[in-house]
Amino acid sequence: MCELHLTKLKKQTKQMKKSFLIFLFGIFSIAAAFGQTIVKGSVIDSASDEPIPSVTVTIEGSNVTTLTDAKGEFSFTSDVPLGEQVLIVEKIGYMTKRYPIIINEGKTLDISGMLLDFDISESQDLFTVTLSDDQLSDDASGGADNISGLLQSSQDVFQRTAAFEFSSSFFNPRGLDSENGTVLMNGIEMNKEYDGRPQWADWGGLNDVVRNQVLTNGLSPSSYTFGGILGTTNIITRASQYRKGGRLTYSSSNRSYTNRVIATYASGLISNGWAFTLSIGRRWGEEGYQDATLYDANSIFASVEKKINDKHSINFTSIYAPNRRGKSSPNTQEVYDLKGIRYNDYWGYQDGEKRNSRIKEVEEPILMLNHYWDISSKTAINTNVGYQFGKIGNSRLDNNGTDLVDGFPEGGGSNPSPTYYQKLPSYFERNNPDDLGIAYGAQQEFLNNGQINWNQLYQANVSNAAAGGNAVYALYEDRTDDKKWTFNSILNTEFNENIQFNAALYYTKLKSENFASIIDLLGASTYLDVDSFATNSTENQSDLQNPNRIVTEGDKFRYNFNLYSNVINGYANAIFKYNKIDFYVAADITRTEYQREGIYQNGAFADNSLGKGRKLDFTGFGGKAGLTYKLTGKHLFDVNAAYIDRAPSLRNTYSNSRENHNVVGDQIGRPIDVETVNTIDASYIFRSSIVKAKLTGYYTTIENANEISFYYADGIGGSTTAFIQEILQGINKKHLGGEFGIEAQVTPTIKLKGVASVGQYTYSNNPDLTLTFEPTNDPADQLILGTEGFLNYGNSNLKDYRIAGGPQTAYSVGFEYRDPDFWWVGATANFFDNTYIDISPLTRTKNFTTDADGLPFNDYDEDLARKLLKQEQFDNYMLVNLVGGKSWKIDDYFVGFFASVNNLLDVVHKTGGFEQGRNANFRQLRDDQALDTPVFGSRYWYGRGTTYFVNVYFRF
Amino acid sequence: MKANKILNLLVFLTMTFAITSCVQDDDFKTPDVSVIDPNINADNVINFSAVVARYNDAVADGDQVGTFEFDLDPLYIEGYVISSDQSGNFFEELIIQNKVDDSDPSEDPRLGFNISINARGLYETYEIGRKVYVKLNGLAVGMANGTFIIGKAAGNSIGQIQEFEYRNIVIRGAEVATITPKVSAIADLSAQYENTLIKIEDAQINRNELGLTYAGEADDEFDGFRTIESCADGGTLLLQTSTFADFKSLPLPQGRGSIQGIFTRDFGDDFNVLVINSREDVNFDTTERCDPIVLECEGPTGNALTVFNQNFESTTTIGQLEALGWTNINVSGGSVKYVIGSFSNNRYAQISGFGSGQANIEAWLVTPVINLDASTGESLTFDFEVAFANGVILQALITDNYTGDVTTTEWIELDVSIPNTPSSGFGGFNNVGNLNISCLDGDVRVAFKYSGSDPSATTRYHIDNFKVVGNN
Repeated sequence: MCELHLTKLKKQTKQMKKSFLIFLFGIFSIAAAFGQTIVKGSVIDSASDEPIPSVTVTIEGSNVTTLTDAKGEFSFTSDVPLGEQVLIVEKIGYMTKRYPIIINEGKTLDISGMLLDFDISESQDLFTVTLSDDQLSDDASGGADNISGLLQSSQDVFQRTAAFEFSSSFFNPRGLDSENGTVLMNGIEMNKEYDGRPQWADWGGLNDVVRNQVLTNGLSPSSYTFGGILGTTNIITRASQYRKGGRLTYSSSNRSYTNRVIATYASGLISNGWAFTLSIGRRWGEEGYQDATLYDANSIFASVEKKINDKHSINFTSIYAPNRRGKSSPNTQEVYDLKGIRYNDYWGYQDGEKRNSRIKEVEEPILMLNHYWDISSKTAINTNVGYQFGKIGNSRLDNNGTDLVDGFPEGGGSNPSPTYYQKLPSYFERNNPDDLGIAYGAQQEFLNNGQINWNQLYQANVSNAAAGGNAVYALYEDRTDDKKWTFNSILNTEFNENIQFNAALYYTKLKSENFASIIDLLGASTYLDVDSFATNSTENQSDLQNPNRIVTEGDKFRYNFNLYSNVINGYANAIFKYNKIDFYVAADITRTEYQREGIYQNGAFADNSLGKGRKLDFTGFGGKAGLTYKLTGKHLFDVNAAYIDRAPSLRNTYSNSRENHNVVGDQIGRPIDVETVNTIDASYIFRSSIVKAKLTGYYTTIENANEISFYYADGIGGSTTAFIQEILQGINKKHLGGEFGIEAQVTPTIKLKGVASVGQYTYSNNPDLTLTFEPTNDPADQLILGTEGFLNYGNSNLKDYRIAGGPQTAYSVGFEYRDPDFWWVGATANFFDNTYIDISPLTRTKNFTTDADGLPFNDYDEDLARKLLKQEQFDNYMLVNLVGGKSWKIDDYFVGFFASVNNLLDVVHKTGGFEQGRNANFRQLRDDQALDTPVFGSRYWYGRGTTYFVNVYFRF
Repeated sequence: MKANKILNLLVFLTMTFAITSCVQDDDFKTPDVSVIDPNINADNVINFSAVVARYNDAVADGDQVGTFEFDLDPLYIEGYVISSDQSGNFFEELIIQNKVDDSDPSEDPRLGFNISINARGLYETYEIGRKVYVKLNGLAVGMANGTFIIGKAAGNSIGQIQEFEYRNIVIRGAEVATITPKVSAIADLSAQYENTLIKIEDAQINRNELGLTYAGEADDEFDGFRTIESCADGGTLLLQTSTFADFKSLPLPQGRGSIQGIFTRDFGDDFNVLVINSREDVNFDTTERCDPIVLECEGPTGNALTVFNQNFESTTTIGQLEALGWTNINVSGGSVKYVIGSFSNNRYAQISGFGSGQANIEAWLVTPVINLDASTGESLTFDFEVAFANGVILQALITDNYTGDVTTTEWIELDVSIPNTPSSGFGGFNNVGNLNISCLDGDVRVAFKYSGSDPSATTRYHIDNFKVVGNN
């Protein structure tokens, strides 16, 4: 220990000397040329002496700020305040430095070789680690989407708090989800055409190498792309931009994975112009916080750069991060009350091991070639080609395996889910109120077993196969295999010292193959590929080209189609910076083309499923502008506004792409069109040497959006079991609210933080609701469903209901203490309120009040109906999080650890949930809600209880 | 060099972790699912007759169910599964019988029970032929829809065995037997065969129902009923198919052959039915049917002349009709005869065996003599209405050689399709015609023969607007 302290002391002394030298240098090194006042310099890493790019250099108390270039150099030429000033030099991952300087009019001040120390506490890494791994990417609605990855590189206290303290509660800034933020990697957009969201898992576990990020917040102009209204993050993986050295990290947690190992090495720019960076990681665990949520992920990253000459560099990046995760189920309150908040109904024991039936597997390698061309000191062109391919698979159990009897399928199994409503006590309480022994028996069974019984599934399959039949149960996956080319070219130029101009052209071409595939036939060897719900031997065919096909493990089945997407985008952006006012204008135009191609000819849609469907195209314009008025260096005002038309995502375009070419709106004759986003915000920013604060108000509308949900309905209008698509078309939403963030460096070691977000996110109209399904031949079903294959319910009365998706109110207060002896602790208390359930739109249609004869229910009670349809608001809650760490320097090596505890008080809290669509009318809902335990109660997600994360690393 | 060393170290470390940090995730072994026979001690097994006796004792004591106490020594019956819910035609029930064939020894007669279980997918565990031991302790035997049922003792009724417990009550043995059905004539079927596997040979679906599906018609509620008729003796039995069966919307087999299924009673315990496990139980493979010969006349018909007309409006009693030369007779010895019915100012001839208590009903309504000598190109029309159908038991017949006794007259059937619907309520009048009878001459009579059996075949019929037309 003693030796350690000594080393540190020496280091500190050395640094002080250097600072002093620079200070003197600042006073005396006055350039010969008179005229312009210039402050310039460069920043280097204190350990490696390598230049550091993208360092923010600011003259304190002024608006003069810039970033260092690839050589770590910067310069200020205009609006430079004179006299004694303080230069703030900061970059994520480094300790912020303040350098006193004196600026004389008409002189050039050159401060080369400013040193930045690597921030060995690396607090930001802590969250990057835990949260990007936490991008549950669970496709279920309600709690899956997470924006923290978008915001984590921000310097702004509000955004950092949103990313690190709020995201485990699925807080969305301004109520907007991640499709409103653009994630780029080396200038190439990573948001998916399918849902507009970035797939974080594609580069998960590569924290060391994706840390290099440039964030533009909100509407602020990005120099790469027009961007979403939440902002743009560009992850830079140029090999030369990594800090030279290596690093080994080991982490342990009980959140998602149990163990993590990452090894990274960067060569820095070697003398012959080459640079390479390599990172390898593995994350694994049998179980996260929820039962049986296994984690099995590997990551490999390699980036090679060749600096051809001063003007040209070429970089090649490859990323391969296969990831398998066990999913966990949303449950009803009844289930949570019996089994606790870690309960997951997707798994069961097999062979003494927990086997999860729902695994999400992501394996989408990324290859990129980037060319950087500095045409002049003012102008650069960056040209990129990206190729991404691979697969996303989501597994689940099928229980509708049939046998062909005389040309027609018979069979099907029972629902293997242990929480199927007919197995739970509430079902028997409702149906056998006079014999509660049955409910008790069901409860005991659920408490004692209550998981998938794999042995029974095997036994059913083995016995049916022995009788010459096929599998009754099958484990299969829904697959999306994308192949995507991206090509773009980005121009950055400075017309003069006040005007910067960016423009870019993008082209992406996507082929997305979608199909279901058998993973495991659980003891049987064949499966009959038909739809067991259809009632005749044409409609039940998955593919009329190959009727009654027998499939085996590894075969595609059920549905098989391609989606094609071509997107061309052009954008331009001009930024004007003056003494009192900065402003920008930006515009883009996007042409989006979609087409579906059916590989299978679906029996229910024989004329509308095979081959290529009609081409859809959307043209969207976007425009935005903003202005910053600098009253003084301390008081700034900022206003931004944007109008954006955007194509609906693929997911919200095709209403039932698995079976047919239908597009949203086809059935009701309302053509699909672009969504329109309007947004405006205004901020007041206060900056002093101690306090930084920002207050923002915003108003955003999203108009003409579509949403499609898919579910098996057991009993729409009676006994009918059908796979249905619920289409909401023409949704308008309104997001308004305010944000406030403040941080105060009250002593050199203590920083206090406070953040508030108060919003109101609501539906602002009553969109059209249509249900679609396979047309039925059954006369009894036709009475209810008609013969057309769809039902138009007219308006769904959503107006003024709250949009689900995290708390609409959130506050945080906290502090950080950084001891000069390289240890630090922090704590925050976070308060969440106004979290709402995702309502069922079908229940808000005329279906709710209408009896089977088309007239209102004769016992309809408006007051009761109002109560039944009231949106559930979850209880507010407070989460306390702790974090701390310490690090040592031993010779040239750094060793450190940090740990965090989330939800220290083990507060049980709901983070989200959704209503089940089963009780779609007044009588059903009334009767169900009147029960002590509703049979079709809403399903919820609970947040985690107390969890820990520990990280140790070694750096050289 | 240094970089290479570091790289090697990294690769080595990663490999080490990759190897030592396996997550049990896929590649699960197929579990052993072979069935081990529970080896029930024979002393603890009673036969099916003993269960029936328990029921009879209970009834003699004034109870409705016979219960088996919980706390006694374990008590079992052993039987073989003969039903399957794979196709959905059976629902929440398991039919077991005590024999694998048609043997019927007097000390342990051939019997079957319906085990009531509140679960789906029973076939996954109990396939056809599977030997099972039913642990009777805590269960009860009673009657449901007129057949024996075993379920949970629930006071004076039978409750369902629940999903969470049935595997501990209906215990699988290792044996899976091949079940040979008992072959029987329809007429020989009686209550003792209920809940057992029965095969009817040389049968077909009644010709009037050939255009229908098993149970996919608009007026099939819960079950569809179709008429199986024997080619050998003309006997009929209803084929009952659930509207939840996978094959409910498929067309009925058109040919002739054998059919096997579980012999039981309909839900209302009104008549006997046969329920198949799957369409493999139907082997109507012979294309040549055994439909009755119907009158087939060729040639043109006309309507210039009304040869005979009776709309029943002027006959307020059947006696008045008989006075006009009509014959109304029951030849089976019962009281069921045609009467004059009326509804909404319309009169018609009406017959129904419902509530008669007569197991064998044969009633005839015969027209007066109709002379066709003065006309050519004659044809015949009438209206009929079906109500509360549970079998097609009306025939329209014609003769040109009436002996004065319906039973000795040689009749030819008229080609009339009479539906077996609706099962409840009234179907409204249908018009029949024009049936070409131009190849007949002289004195003819038309008869409506009603062949019923209360309560299983009691369909009600209304006949109206009987008319023969022709040319001069």
